[in-house]
Amino acid sequence: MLTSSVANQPSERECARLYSESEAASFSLSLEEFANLFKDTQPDRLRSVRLKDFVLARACAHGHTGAWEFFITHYREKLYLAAIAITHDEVRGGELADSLWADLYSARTSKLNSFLGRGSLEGWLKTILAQEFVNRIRKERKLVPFDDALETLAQSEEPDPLLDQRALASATDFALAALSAEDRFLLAAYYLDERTLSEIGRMLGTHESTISRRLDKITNVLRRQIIAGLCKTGVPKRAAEEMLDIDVRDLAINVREKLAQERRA
Amino acid sequence: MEPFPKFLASRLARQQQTAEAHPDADALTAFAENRLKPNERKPLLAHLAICADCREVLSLIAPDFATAPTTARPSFQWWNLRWAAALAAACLIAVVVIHRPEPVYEARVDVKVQRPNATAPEPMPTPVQRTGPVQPTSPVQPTSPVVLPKRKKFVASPVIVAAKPVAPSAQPVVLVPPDVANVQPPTDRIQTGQLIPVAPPPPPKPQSNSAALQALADNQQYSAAFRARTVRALPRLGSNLPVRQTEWKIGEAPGTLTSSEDGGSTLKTAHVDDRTNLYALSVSGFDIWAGGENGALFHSTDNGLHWSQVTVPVTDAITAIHTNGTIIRLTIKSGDWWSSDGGRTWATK
Repeated sequence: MLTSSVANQPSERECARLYSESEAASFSLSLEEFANLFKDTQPDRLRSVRLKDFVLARACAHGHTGAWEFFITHYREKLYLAAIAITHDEVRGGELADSLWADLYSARTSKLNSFLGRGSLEGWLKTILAQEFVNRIRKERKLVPFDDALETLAQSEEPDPLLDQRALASATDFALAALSAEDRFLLAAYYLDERTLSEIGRMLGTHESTISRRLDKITNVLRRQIIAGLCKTGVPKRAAEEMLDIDVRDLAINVREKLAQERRA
Repeated sequence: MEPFPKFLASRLARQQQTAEAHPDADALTAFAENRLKPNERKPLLAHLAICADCREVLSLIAPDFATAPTTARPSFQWWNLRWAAALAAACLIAVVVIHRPEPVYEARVDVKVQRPNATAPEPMPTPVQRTGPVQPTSPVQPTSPVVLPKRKKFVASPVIVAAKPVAPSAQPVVLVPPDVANVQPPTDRIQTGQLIPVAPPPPPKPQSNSAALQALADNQQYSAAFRARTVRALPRLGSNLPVRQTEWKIGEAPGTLTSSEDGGSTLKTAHVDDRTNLYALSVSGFDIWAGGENGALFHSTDNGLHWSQVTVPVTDAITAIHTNGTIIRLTIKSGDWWSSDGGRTWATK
């Protein structure tokens, strides 16, 4: 155990090289302090992370004054700007950034301890802000008025017209499950979240034309697989194609209004 | 974009979950910055496909292309040049094919068959004799003609004289044409297309006026007498022999057989049998029959290069020969003789 522990520690030479690469001297972190911070960290792990950001976050989490000064100088303004960009509101953005700042500055349980250096520190801060913002939105959505909740409940109790079409549902589920994770992500982002091709392209780091082509391909594949699945259950191909093409919910008929009109008449 | 059926969106929405556990901010950040390994990216995408909250977070932190150096593609990629490379290769091939140099021929050759020389020591001498392997670059003296060995089946021993020599002062060269080589000549020494210097033709001998007039009178006399018996040898259809025209005559000199390659301007005596006077001739392509005194009948199947004597049971002189390719009729003083098997057996009527 002792041997493995010693083996996991970076050697002095390795430690000096990592110290130089991390530019830790720019926020007044000495070599001894650097060695103490990462005495239990494997050198391979340090080589695979964004070293400068990782060292800065770890030094801040341990309350290093020089590191905090550097962090405040370089990241405080970015943090507030990012919060305003996320919330699209200066006040709410300020509140969001203040709350995160307090979490970061906490001496015992600083959020900076959870930064692992896989991405940039600035991106990580934005992600923390976005997660916090989404959590707040989700909590606000839960606090809906009682009447709206009842209406929502009533709508959800409407029978699903597809419940009777077990074959179509199972064929669709099977075809969706056969897609890759990225394809399902594209479908969900485009058809459920109703994001634009440009937004999805930014999320995946690809061009929007690529997203468009892939969506076309996915929908074609889905259609073929659903028809094939229906045919396996004994549905004729022509009928399967009609089931895909005709959906009662596409007819845009408000049944309640129709019924009300008939009663008045 | 293909229309997405609503029931499909409904089934897709049913798969959405409110997950209890979400990926940490580090993983999402690394995903947004495109720094995740493929094996890390796949489970995260699987979560993103069912988690609307994380997709929302990802959309909020997704960097613009202009501010995301990790996701921005480099402006220049070698792979983008693949079509240009293919186009360049096609152009190069086209240029090579178009500008390929045509084969250069040194000279056009005319085929000219020389008849055997009367003073040649062999019974059926070939005009060109070969004494050994001849190298294209080895000089050959004009007085040492190239001698080809005797051939069994080879029909002609053509001497192809270059009509346009490479250099005006150079000696004429002999070229064995490919079609002659196809008849399987003895190519152990002379290769197809090999240039062989040969002796130039001897200059014409000066003649006195009286001798020339006498020769002209002789020619006119014999020409008038034997014009009707002049036969032009034409190659048979389908023969693989070189095309040439040879006119055969009987009696330019009494009892002799002569041939001409140039329409009668130059006559050459065929030495079939110097002891026998020939009076009758029949030519069918390269198949030549010649008959003479004492029932002597000679046959050549190679346009007169080789002759063989055919035994006929007659002793009178053969005065006329008629052939149609299969039947031979000899006209003799005592009557006609017929053979239908190429001269092996004869019958008279």
